[in-house]
Amino acid sequence: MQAMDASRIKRLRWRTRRGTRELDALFGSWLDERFADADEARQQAFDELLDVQDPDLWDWVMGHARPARADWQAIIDDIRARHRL
Amino acid sequence: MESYKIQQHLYDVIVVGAGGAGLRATFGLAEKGLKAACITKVFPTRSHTVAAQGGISAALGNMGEDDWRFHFYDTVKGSDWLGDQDAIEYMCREAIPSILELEHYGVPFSRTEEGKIYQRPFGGMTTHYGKGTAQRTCAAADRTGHAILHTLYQQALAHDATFFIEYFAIDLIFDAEGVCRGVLALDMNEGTLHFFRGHAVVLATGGYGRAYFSATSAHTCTGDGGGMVLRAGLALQDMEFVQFHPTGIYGAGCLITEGVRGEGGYLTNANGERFMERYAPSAKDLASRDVVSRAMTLEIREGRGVGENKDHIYINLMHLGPEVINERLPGIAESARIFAGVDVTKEPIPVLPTVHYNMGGIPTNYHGEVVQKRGDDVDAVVPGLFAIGEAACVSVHGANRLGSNSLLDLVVFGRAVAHRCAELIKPQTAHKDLPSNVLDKALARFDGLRNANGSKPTAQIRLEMQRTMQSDAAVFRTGVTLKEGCQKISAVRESFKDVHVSDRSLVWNSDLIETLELANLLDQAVATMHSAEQRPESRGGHAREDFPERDDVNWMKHTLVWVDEAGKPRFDSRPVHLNPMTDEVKAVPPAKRVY
Repeated sequence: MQAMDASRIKRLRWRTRRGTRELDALFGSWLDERFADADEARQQAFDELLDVQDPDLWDWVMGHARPARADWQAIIDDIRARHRL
Repeated sequence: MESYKIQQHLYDVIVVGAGGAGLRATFGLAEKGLKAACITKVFPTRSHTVAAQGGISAALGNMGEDDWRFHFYDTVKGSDWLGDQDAIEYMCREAIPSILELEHYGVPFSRTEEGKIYQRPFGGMTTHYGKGTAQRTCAAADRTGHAILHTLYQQALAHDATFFIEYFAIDLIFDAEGVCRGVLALDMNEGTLHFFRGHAVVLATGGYGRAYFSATSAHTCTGDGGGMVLRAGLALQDMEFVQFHPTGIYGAGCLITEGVRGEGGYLTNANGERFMERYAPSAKDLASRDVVSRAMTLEIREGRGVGENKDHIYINLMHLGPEVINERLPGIAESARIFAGVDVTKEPIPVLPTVHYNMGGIPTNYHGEVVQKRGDDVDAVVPGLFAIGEAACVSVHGANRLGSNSLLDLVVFGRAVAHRCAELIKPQTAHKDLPSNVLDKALARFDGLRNANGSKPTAQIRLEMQRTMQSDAAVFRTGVTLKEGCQKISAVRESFKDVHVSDRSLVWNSDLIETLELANLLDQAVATMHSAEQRPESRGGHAREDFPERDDVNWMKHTLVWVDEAGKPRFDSRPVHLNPMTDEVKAVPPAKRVY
């Protein structure tokens, strides 16, 4: 299980590489600092969230729009809260 | 050395990179009936083109009078006469059909009430050779880069191009005659090695902004194509020309747009002084990017920087009030809070001149064919090898790029490569037999780095490189500091022999990938610093304190730089093409670049 987790985190680490510097920082730091302590459902939601297009992620973090999925919004809210937005 | 099993793939053309240039090329090749494969280390719509929000220029004349010849003039002048005028003519003429094609393919450009593509003004874009203001920049709301990526990716898939996503290109493979025959790549998900063979390889690998500490580029901008080209023993061109944006957030690199100063934001030093008044008494904080960047750098060098290390500057918006900030500068308050941790209504934002664009790169002609100097032939084509986009130096941007010409460059030359390959390559042509040892050198290098067991972690060497480039190859350049910088960056390059890679696996091994990327960055960092040292003049993005004037007699020429395996640079030059492609436009003779 631990080996699988390590491999998954390595894959997600690559996928937090985004098209912009801003999103690299926001999603990379959430992976580094929050992912390990999240429950399995939230980890899975984060995994799927990384497939979303960059401009949508940016609009959500900026609060200009909201994702349809509540579990994604919870992660976005956490990212916003961490940065006092 | 471990014996690696290599899977071979045969295509007509291999494209490396899936940003705007790579996708336009891939789609165009497939549309022409060529069997095309695109290898990309990140998912196509996640490439750095997504950050290009501003727009794309073309003299469509939808908003008033315009002519591609005006666009040509602006681009030559913007380049500070280092741009090749034949390539600039090609780009500005072909801009018009290139944009109309994008519209046809489905890019949702913003429109006028009559339904034409809406166009807005942009710095440096004029009509009648500097007399009027052009409205030449097309945009798809604030998502232009992403809209182009999305549309081209869908088109490429519809035309049966094949994508190899999350594959990292390791090295170019040449035959004994110097013809490029393919690329060795790592499938990061499976951990397997692949030899992609093509009759042509197109490098669309982007810029190398991450060689600097403060860069607006995403992590992924490591200039892998430039690194591969140097290792193949070929020269890069004009690497000393790097464009800086004056206001990147300190430490984070994220941009604070020029609009902030347009709305009345101003810069201060450690004494709280509005120092731009001394450097540009009339324009002050609204002076051009290069002037503001240089002033900020001088303040820091003279000990008046802010912060614990006195190494940055403040930009102040507090006096504007929350209403103005939120209404006219949307997103700025959020960016400043997230990336600088400041409340812009109460505190200034820490900023630093930040690398924004690499004008230099892999030298090509306007067909996208890589060229080198071979004896008396200054435009000798390297068979089988193409380069486009920020990775390339066509050279349409010369010493300085104009805003909204970068997206144009991607699309026009991505398209040009597809046209050229369709002329040169017959679909499904058989591939030449290659000797069994053709991959040996690339494999040995890969295996060596994978098992690198030195004492310095990749991240440490990378930081030393970034700090060295930031302090000595940034805006402030003199003979003394550049000489010092050359020694320092060559020492950092040398220390890479002692790199330590901790993860020996092949699957999702970020440590290994970042080490391969660092090798690419380091050679280009050496090329940049040493190229800047050997050019004793000021032109566009390269400003020397000790040589403040442009020297057309001796230096109106492209720098060629090689970096050998030991990290030692060597120089030569190619003449600038001062004549346009046709007689339908007149060459722009050199003049002082004033706005």
